[in-house]
Amino acid sequence: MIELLTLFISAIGVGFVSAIAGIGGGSLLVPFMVLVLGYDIKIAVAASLLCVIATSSMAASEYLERGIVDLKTALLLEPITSLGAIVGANLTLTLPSNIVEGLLGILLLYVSLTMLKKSLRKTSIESPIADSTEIDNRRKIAGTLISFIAGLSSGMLGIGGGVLKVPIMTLVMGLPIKTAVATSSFMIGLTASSGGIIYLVGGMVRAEVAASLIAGIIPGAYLGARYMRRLEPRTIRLVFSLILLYASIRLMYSLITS
Amino acid sequence: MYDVQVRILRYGVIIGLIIVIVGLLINPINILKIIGLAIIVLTPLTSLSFISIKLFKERRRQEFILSQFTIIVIIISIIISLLRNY
Repeated sequence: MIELLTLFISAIGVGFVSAIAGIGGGSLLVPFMVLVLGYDIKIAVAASLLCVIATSSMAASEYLERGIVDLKTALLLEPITSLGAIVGANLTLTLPSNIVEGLLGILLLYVSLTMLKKSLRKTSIESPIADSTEIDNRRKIAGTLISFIAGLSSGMLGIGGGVLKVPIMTLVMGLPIKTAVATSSFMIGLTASSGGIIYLVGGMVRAEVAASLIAGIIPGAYLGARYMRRLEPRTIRLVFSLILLYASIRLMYSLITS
Repeated sequence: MYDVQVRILRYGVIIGLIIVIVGLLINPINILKIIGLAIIVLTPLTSLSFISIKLFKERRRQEFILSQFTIIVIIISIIISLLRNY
């Protein structure tokens, strides 16, 4: 019972922070469950994917209602992203846990450095081709290939993959940032669902863990979005990029030493 | 515009979560827990299926075909995992 209460409270915190920092809950939740609570990474990834489904479904419903999801781009990229997630989930179930932890460490290094860069930058950079309506075939192919990697990392490591999807859409496909965020949010649920099915059927989802996390992360994200204006997102991003950097080093170190 | 699809996304996860919690509290044979988890996992796919039907009705062929690709990929993955595990 104490374990479930800890997970519930942690999920509120993760939801709150990820909404303010503008990142998916998975990149905080999985390292927290592995490094602090001592869960096996496969159980943590499975539970995290269910949380990602919950948060992205809530966000995507808002974006879909407002009509800012670019369905054409989402549906173009999603088949290959889902395929990546399925391959990734099967890889995690096959590989030893310490290798998956090492790979998570590498991904977290990328996420933390991206966050750090974002928090130190004073102005946001818009897509260089944000106004273009036609996307040439070369960009479509590049976007599709990178989407596979986004899906692979999602299914393998239990993250949403927005950290890869949004740059693909803005820099490669030329979507405006708001549309990219909305479209990515819509896609994240589907990608996490593709990976989540593999873990569910494979018996890796612990119902009580997933339920505690989902029950905490939804109100946490809601509170985070509500208090976002009162808090300074740059400072929070800076603090959490350093925490993620520390987590990534610890995960990579455990891989080397094992 | 996408009222049904929005409602599925918004309430699908919550309904699934409630069923899992009820399953954890009262059901000893796990069936409610599995149903609840399956509802949560399949919520985005269900919403996409309804979007796909809408695209078909609106004769947006290219988008409809692309949505079918995603649905087919996910369904094949379900079948393969079921075959491998049972």
